[in-house]
Amino acid sequence: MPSFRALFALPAVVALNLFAVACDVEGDPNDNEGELITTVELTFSPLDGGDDVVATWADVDLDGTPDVDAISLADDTAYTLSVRFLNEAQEPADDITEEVDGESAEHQVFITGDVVDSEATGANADAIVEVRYADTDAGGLPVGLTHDVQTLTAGDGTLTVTLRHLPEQGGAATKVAGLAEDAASSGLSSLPGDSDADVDFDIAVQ
Amino acid sequence: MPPWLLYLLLSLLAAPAAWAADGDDDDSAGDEHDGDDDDPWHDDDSAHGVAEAVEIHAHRDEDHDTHARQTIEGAQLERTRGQDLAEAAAQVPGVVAARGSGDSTKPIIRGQQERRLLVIYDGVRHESQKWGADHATEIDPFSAGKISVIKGPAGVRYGPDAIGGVVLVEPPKLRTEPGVGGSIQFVGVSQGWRGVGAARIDVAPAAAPGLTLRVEGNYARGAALRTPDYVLGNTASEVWNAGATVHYRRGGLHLDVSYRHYDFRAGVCFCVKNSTPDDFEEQIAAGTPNGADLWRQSFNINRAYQDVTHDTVASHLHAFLGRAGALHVTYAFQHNDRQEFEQTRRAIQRSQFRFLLRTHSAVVEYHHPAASLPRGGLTGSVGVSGTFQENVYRGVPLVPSHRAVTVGVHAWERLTLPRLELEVGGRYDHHGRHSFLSEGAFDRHEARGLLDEDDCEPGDETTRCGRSFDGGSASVGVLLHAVPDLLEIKLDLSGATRFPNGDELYMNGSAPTWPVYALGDPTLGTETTWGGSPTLGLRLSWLEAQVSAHVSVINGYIQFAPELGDDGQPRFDVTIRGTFPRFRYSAINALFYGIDGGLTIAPGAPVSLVVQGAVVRADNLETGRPLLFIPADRVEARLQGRPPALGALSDLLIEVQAEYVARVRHADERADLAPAPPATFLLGAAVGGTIALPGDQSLSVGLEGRNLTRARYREYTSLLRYYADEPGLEVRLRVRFDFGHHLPRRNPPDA
Repeated sequence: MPSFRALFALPAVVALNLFAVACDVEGDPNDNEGELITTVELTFSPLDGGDDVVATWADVDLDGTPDVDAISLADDTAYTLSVRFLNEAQEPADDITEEVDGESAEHQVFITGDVVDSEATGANADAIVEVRYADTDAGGLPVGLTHDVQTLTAGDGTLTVTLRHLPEQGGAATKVAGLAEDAASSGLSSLPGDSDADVDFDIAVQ
Repeated sequence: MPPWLLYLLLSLLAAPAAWAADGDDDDSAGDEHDGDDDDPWHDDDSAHGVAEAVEIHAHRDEDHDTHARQTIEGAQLERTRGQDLAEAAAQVPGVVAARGSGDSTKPIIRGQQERRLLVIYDGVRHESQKWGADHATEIDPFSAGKISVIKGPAGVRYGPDAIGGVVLVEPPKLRTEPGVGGSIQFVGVSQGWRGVGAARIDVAPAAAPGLTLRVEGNYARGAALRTPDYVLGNTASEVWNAGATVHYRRGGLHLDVSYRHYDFRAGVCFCVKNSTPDDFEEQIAAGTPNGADLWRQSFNINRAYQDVTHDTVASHLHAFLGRAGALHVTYAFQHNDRQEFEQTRRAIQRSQFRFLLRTHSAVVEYHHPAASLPRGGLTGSVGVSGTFQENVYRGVPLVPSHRAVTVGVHAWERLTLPRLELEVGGRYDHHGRHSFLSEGAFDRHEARGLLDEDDCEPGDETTRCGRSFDGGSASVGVLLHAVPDLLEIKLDLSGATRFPNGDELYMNGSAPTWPVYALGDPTLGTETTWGGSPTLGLRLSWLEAQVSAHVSVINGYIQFAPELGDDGQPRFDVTIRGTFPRFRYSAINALFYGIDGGLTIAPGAPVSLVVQGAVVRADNLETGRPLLFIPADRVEARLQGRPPALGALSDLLIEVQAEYVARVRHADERADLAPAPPATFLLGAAVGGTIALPGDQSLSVGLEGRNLTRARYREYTSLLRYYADEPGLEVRLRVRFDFGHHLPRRNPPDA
């Protein structure tokens, strides 16, 4: 009979292999540092002073049941709107806004909704707020992390915040001039790229 | 290469040396397994593997399998070089190659997706993340010497998962004559300007009788594919494979050890756009992908892309024990590493989905000696198998990791009479699995009332939930040589089982390739199928035909469908990317039925015609409604001309091929996310031949054209159909150089 060495080698190797891999299979499968956005935070700062209005949309547990604040603004008031994106699924929370700002040539925030008048909605007779871009990237195109907001009349409805990731495709930029106007005429889904965030807030002007 | 893999490899490679070192006193030639042409383990009609050991007596596998079975080999297989495994297998009627999100395909047999199929390479079941719609089969098509498709449930012989059938891939036979042989191939493909180079060298040293070595490898690189109207941006791909086999035999003992590495990197089409349900609907309505005018036919692979490796170490021991029968032992270790990189912010370098699957498997099978009966014989075997598997997942929330053990026993007996062959078999498998769920996933399933704290144990980072499953199957097959060598009638009654996969039990997250929020069901059980399939085989001088009908019921068939609320309306999940329809896995009872087959008029004549086709249907037995993603009816005709040899030029072939694929009308369109694509007519052509060169050398050349009319079409079963057209015209040029050099057989030292 030939040597039994080979027969003994196999179980030894198998056992070694089992030992080596025993640990990581029991570790947390969720490993998403930096990848996820769980939270969109809107801060409306009145230009004439007064308290900021802060509203967040947060799905920290990623379970499809987000906690969403309603936005309540005063009529006939001008605000500066700052938009932040956070990953609160990790501790400490990661501020994705800085990355979006750092890659502003490939990102754009769009504010739309049934009661919004913005570059991305076009003229809207039902609007209770007027929203205009207040920042630009290095190429002079809007980014949308900051907006000028003017309340127009009392009422309520929905305000949608969409963060569009517009990466190069085949070496060609997909963030180009006129995307907000394209969204106004053909809808956000007609735009290139993917939505990293697309969330609805209830908004009321009193 | 990780150290443990290196250690494993070296240890296994040490094994043949051990055999060789101890065996010199028994080197007399002339044992029954040392022949040149009649060696059952290196004959075209047998595998290295254990699974097919019974077929050593067969001159054609399909003639002795009670299943509908078809084999692709020789020139027919050669013509598929440069294509995927699934595309090669799709030449068999009833098999469809479904495209994923770029330059890769998966097989579908009789309407069953890959999670309900078994792919077996060299006797080892391929273990991968086969559940994903764009997870291509990680098998090197160049390493196939023969591809057999067994249609229908085949659980007894091949084990769990063989609900829809089995794709058996066997390596080309190893060299038995002392000497050196091999081949070098180049394939150029117009579609994606793809270039492929492959080589194989077999060495049987005269100084070491019984020892055979093989080294093989190939590399392919392709640019983005092109539809008739636009480029499928970012569908470039790069694939390489390497493998080595050492085979040693001495007396009645045969041992081989092989190592294979598969490496695949491919872009996901820029057209795959589903970041929000609105985006998805918009691009379906648009017809042409948004931004297609920007896409160029580049070799660059950008995000999103997949990067997959598969390593296999396999070892077979065959012991022919003379009157005591034969023992076959297989051990394999497979390491599958799948990473998927989404389109992310530049600051993020790593993958968003990473699946590591490590599988140890072993099969021991004993074949009793053939028993002679007054008018026939009885063969059979009994076997045990075991698998230990660890699946480690890291990434954005989707599926848990798991550790699983499967053990099984099986046995079959085959009675061979002059006009009748009868095979009866049975199998039992037990599968135990511990899944390790994140806190969020456990809470979600618990809140749905589908998991209980008592079922699970909290751990340091995850919650461990155990499940175990049992599955039994049996089969009875009859093969009647109604008119010997002319008319054969087969009837197969077979079962198979499948244990639910981790995604089906526990998925919780947005699927990367589908605009839905997907939820598993931790209470799902085993799928069991029972089916019958009569097959008719006819062989006349002017007509050959094989036609097979099939019907099977699958109890506990796990489907992926929209979840409805108590009011009958679809449910939705609100995510940061918008509101997604909620899809869940649920068990139903399903009925599959259909017919497939083909015929050849004037086989072997200067001009012959091949016609083949398939029809398959599947219904939910509870609602009576048809299931989704069941392939379209299709029929294909090939007119083949074989001119006589011209000097050194032989095996000449001229072919015109036409394929018609009907529009799917049997699907429940209300449950689908897009209407079924219209009917398709595709035209192809091929020419080829072989030039004999001095010595054992030859040069084969072939030219294959596909979609010559540049038809715009979409394939119903492809993931790509939701996003873009299939690639247009493809011309493939194949050149293959075969070489061989015989050495005189050295006399044994003690002769």
